[in-house]
Amino acid sequence: MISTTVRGASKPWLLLLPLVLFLSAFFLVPLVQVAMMSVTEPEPGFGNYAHLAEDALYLQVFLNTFLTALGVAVCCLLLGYPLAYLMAQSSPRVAALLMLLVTMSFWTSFLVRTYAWMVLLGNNGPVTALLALLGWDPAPHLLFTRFSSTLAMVHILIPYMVMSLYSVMKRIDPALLRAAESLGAKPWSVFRQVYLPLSAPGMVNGATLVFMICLGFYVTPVLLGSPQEQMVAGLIGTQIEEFLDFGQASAMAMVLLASTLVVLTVYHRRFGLDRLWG
Amino acid sequence: MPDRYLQVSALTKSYGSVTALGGVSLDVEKGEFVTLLGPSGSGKTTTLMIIAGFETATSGTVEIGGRSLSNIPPHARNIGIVFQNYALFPHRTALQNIMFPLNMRGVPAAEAERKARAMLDLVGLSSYGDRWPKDMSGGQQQRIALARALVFEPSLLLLDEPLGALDKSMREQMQIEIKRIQKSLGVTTIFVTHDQSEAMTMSDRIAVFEQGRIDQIGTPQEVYRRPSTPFVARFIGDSNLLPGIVLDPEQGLVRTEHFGLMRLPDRLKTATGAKVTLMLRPESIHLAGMMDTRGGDTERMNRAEVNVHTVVPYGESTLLIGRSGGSDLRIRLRAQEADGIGSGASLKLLWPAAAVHAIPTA
Repeated sequence: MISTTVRGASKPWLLLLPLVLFLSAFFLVPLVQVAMMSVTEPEPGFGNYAHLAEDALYLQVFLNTFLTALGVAVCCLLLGYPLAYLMAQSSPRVAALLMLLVTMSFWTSFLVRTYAWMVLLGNNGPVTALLALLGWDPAPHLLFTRFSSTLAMVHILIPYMVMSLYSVMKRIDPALLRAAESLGAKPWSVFRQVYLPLSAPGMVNGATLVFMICLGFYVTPVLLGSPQEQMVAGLIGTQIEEFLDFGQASAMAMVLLASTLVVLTVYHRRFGLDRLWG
Repeated sequence: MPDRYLQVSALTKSYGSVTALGGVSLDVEKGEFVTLLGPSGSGKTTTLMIIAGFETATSGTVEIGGRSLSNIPPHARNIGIVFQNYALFPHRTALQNIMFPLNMRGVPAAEAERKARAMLDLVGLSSYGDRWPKDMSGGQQQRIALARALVFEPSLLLLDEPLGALDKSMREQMQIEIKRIQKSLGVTTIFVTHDQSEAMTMSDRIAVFEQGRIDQIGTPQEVYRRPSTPFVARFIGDSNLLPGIVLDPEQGLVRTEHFGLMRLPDRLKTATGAKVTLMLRPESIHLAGMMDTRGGDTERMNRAEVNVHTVVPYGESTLLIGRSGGSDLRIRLRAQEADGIGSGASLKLLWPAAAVHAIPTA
């Protein structure tokens, strides 16, 4: 009886085994393969990476990706903050209801949401029609622009931001706000001097999550974005589907992975990775 | 009538059908230290929060220096508050915390820092200005919170169970410390606690709360020696409460069920046959052999005999619980006096009439 307990407790890592096996077979092995391909296709050496560094087009795409991801993160923050604030101030019932509404978009298929945006923003769609009705002439092209892909990505990623913010805001002691008020702070000062700084970790968490997910986003930018302003993931797809250039595509994938790891490392150095998920 | 600086008049507070405050009135003099004492849910914290402006009274008024606070928001009331868990801003250092109220009042940075440093000196933490709250002990955080609540020279200081989270020795140290600082600044202070010993040691006056009302307001000695209700007698200190019937109000004689005839120090205002509760503090009871009665007025002594069934040593004193008839009597003796008294011992006791206080029973 006792020996069983001791033996069971002494090897808790055994519980990890199924997951480790699964990830090894379906993630780690393919990843190593991609890394190998990036230095062996079409010929051994670092030619693919050199090519990436030399060609201004690739640089432009990477820059474009970073700027889009940054834009999405900022939009998510601006839209998500008031909502998360409202949730944190509400009664548990109302907060739960709002959370349900926010996460509702999680349950709808990714692809369906993206196509829905295509219908809404298309040239014959309701948004364009409305703008034309309001006297916008000629009616703007909304679809296949950076605007439409950013909008759709904000829509998809905002729950991450709201949840990051909410989990931090919920832990702000209301006594601190009362204390600030009793010490002479007007409502705006209470927010600016106490609430905002204390919610900053949530802002950083949410922005980091959204930014990193956005870096590798494929479907939405490809379907809704401007073909002239491709993002990295989309370009990798094109390289494989149209040019069968597995080596170049693999090298770009590795650089993208490295970029994400750099962001994570910076975050970890500054805040500690264990706090990222709230 | 002393000049009333803080005037709380007929405060009531209801949450739906639940009455949290049922008419609380309290006048406080300038510079006075008044404690609101009572069990949790008795309305003391609600009263404090109404004074601070975080709760709105259903009816009643609060005035400071003759000025009504009714329509003044908390940030404009100029009241310093020390919260139960200190509520220091975690993203500001100790010094920055103390400077906060000055920043909010537009005091120039240099002057704000000078004043904040002076407060750090006053609370004895001169070298802790750059510490973060999380790197300070509970007692140190407490002092910073106190300094922050006092640095802007508030018209009133409110302390909401500020010592609850401290360990016993730190609590006693802070009691003395808070009292010293309060005296040196002369700030009018309302202190909320459920700890009667804190209330006794710190207060000029104590207001004892029971179920949304104040049972009694008085100096620590008054509420201890002459409680106006059985609740106050039970809540403050240890006591024996003996039900009795007035036999002779002129002579101060009351008949109790289990301890016979009891002599009281004064004549009673109640009529013959009225029901009263007699309060007798355990420490005013003596062993018959030990007390020198020759010089005293033996006529005014009360006597009883009990069988001890419980002995609880407290170090400096010993609590004995004895039984007579159907009733227990708690007796507190100095430890040496109680030496050799064990469970089952029979004791002859006596106590002066002056030790007995009659509480009218409604």
